[in-house]
Amino acid sequence: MSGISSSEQGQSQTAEPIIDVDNVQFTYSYENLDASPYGPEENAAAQPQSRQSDADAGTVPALQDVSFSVPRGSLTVLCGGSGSGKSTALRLLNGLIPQFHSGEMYGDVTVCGLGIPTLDLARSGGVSATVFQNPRSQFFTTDVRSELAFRNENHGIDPAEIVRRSSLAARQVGIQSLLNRSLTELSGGELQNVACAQAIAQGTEVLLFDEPTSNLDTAAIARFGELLSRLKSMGRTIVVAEHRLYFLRDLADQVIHLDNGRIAHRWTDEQFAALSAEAIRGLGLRTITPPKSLPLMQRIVEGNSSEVADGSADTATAASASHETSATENADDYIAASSSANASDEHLAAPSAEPSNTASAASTAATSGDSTVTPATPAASEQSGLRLEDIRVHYGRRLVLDIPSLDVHAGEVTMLVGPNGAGKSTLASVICGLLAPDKGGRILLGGKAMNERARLAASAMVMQDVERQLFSATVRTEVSLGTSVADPMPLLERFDLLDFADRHPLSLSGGQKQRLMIAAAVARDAAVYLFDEPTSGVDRRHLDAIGQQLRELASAGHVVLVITHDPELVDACADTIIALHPLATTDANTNKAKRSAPQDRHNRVESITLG
Amino acid sequence: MSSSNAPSTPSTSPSQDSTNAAATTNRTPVVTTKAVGKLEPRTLITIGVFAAIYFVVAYATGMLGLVSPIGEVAGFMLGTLINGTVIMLFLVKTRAFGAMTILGFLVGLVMMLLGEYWAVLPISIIVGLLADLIVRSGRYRSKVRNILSYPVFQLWLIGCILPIWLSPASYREHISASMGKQYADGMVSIFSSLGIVFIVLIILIGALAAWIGTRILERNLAHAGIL
Amino acid sequence: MTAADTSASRVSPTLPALGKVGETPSMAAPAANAASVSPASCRHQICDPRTTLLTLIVINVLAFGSVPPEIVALSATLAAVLLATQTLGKSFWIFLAVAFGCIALYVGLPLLVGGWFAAIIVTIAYWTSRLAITFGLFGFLFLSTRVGALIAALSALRLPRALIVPLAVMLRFIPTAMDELKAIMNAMRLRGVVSGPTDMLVHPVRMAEYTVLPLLASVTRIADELSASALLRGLGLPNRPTSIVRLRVRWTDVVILAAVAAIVALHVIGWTVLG
Repeated sequence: MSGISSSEQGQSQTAEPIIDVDNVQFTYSYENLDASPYGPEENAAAQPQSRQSDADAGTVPALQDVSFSVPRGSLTVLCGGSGSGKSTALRLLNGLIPQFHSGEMYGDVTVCGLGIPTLDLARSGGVSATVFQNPRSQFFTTDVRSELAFRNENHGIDPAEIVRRSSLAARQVGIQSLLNRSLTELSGGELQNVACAQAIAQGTEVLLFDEPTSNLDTAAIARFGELLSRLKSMGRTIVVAEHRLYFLRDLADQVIHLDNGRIAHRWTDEQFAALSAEAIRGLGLRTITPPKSLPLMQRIVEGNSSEVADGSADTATAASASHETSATENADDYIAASSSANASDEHLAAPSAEPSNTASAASTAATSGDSTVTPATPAASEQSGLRLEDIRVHYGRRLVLDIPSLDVHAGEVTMLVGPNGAGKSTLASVICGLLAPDKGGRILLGGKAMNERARLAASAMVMQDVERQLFSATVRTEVSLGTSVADPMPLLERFDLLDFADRHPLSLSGGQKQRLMIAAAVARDAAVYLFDEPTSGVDRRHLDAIGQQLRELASAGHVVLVITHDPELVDACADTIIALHPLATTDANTNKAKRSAPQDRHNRVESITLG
Repeated sequence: MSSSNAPSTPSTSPSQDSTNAAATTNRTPVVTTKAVGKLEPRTLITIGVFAAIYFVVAYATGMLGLVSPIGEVAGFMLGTLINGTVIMLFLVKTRAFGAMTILGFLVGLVMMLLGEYWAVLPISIIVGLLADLIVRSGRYRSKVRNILSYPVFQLWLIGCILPIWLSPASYREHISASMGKQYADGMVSIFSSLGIVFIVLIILIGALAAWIGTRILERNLAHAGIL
Repeated sequence: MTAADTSASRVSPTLPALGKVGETPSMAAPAANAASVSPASCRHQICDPRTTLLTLIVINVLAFGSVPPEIVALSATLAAVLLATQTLGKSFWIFLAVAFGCIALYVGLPLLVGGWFAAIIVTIAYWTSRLAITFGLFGFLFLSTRVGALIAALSALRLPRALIVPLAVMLRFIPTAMDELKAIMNAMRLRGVVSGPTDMLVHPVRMAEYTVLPLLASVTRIADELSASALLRGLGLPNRPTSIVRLRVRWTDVVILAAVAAIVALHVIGWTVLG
């Protein structure tokens, strides 16, 4: 493979840029939000006028003075905060702007010698292939094989040739085994691979990626980085718009930092790698060096087989295992006072009080810069914590979750980490009362057993897709919905939403929506707060803000449980990590490493206290 | 490409118009607007997506039928109620002749494949076409006509009860031969009157649902930037 | 500009690059042949989807028309045999019990008892038997045919693109829409907006609004993203698309169609057992 790729590189003319963006300005055309969908001729005649009035009101261009070029065979990273215009810039390259997202555009974009802005979308798709952020919405078909063929079928290519290209692309990405699978049964990482394979199967020289890692866990991100490097060595030209930067540091040839729709910085690979952590933080960018908790997270997600072998691990072995695997870099930062699920009760009650809270607070402050951390006293946390006993959940006849016992302490931010399919979401559903565990399971909150109804009332959950959780017509009513809060204004003020009190929740930006949901969760005055991937597709500023909010909730004495794949969030605010390992089953497609351990009948659960 | 307001923005942007001919043509902006009124690919995708939503809502509420026959009727009506908003948004988002006909085809086809009486397909296409004509008569912007089109479209549900409603000869023969003529006549009259009640209910609830839908559209969805 | 357009329209200018990347075509060819067959084997596709569709429609017309119980029983047998090629699990036995149980009920019950109550039971059984048959055939279609194969079959039947494209989107989108709906219901319970399914019947209008708002919000977003992705991949191109699904008529198609024809023929000549 490597020999072929070098000859490929030799053939390509590296001198001339394959992508050229020349002095582009673009303004999205927003529809008038107060316009009625009905009534005569407003649409036909009045539109130019309404746009004119919008322009007078100060519509800000999404992009201004944007010029850059991409040499053939190189990898360019577009970075910047939310709303900085990095996704907009990527859409210039595939023609979605201005052909799909309507608006007004000045300047010129050339890809492979074609003028993109005036080109039909299907034709711009002839020179570049795009991988979008969300696997749920970018696939047109229902199974992997059809998805890989979809574009080539539309272009009227001979079926035999299509099949040849598809299997080639599948082999390059390493998903041959998935070819006959249905898309609905694949995990996030597998879906991302399918998206990459279909892009490769299109056979275009240019590959565009729009926030490709938003839905990936740490292990999948590492594999995605390897795939990018392989594609690059094959001579493909790659442009990636991303928040997460650490995995791109060694791959990028050029990094373009956008801010407010303008290019703020251009870095070469050396300049970018040489940037200091402070400089990166100052620019509001995510870390470019591997996050501190990355090795630990990777170990958990990949499932260390040597460690699984002694499945009934007592505290000592689990702790040493975590030392072992993360020893390379940051092992010393973690005192892994770990307890396995099979450990006896006295183990579980004891450990997390030991590491001094000041130490954990100090480490948090060091990594994230949050300074207002006031940890709760250990005594209080033990009384009001959440305790799970003998939790088993079956879907149909299949056992999906089996946890003999688990403690989640109040006053701490607890991160729930584990590979896809380990049962994290199921566990969250059980805790918040959406799902009833099998008979015999008990869930205690502050020492009191709670049934489903009581748990629903006592918990608040912020889902990953916040849009599904917004029901009201205004921000003001949204916060107090389903609660007894009479005056939501103080809460809105606390979450910096006061200016939007009368706006429609769905018209807010992504970050504002998430703040609104957290405010609504706080309004419920719950004892247990659950968050599902709160930082997927989120920039540095927003990540720090979420970390801060989690800390505040915890220090108010609540149980705060966060499902996350994001090592940067763990760095920012985790006190304890609960590692949930998948069940050992005889099912062939689950983790093979687990099958050999007969005593591993339960979900192995480790609590790792960071200090 | 029309640009009545073109002079306003370029003057503010820093221009490099002295370089070459290409640069000066660049200063003419590419202005794109949402195309309306044609069945272009994007509209077809929108139709497919809304058909899925429509179907899932109808199917999910129809599951109430598992509780009891009364639950089934209630389910039909609840589905009609919720889908009113879906269709009102659908009409605003497509604004093209043929959208309702295609929707009718899709719903009818899936219902037929699911085992409903075959006539549900032609009936769905016909009511879809009627709904299309009603909406077009209001040039896709009349609130009243959009509302009116929905109860007409919902009449595809007749296709599901049609065989029972019409009671084919074999059914009447079977009952009268095996149980007596009075039973056959009795059952047939029960079903035909129930069928009429069903249709009246669909029309009334459909109209109400569509009206609610337009209100949700104006009050919520328009402000949410979804339209 | 126009010259560049046309060159890019069908085959992108950089396509030959792909050939150089991997092995020679001759190496890839055997794998390709195997690949185009295997989707069928994965879903136990025993016949051309067009055969399935025709069977489904003919039996539907027959079962809901004026046919004697014998023809209904034969149709049920055909549906049972087809279903058995896909599954012999619980659903198969439920189908068998419901279909034949209802036929026996509406034929047999009047011989035993009379009265209005029996008349109602007979009526329900009469119609349930028919619905069971057509639903059983749907089960066969669902289990045997991939969405891709169904779409290919309908394309081969020269259905216009304006119908094929929305149908493909709809079939792909139904599971997504169900997930969305479920997630929204859960969110409603979590937010304390609704306590259970009974609220649906008590406050239908409010529930309709609460369900429909987030549903339409997320669906509109997904529809936009799907459109963008599909249009970039050539959905709007005017040419006729090709398909990797190969449709061909096999002996099983002949057998199934012969069975359908036989049932129709028996009905036409007025065959009965019970006199």
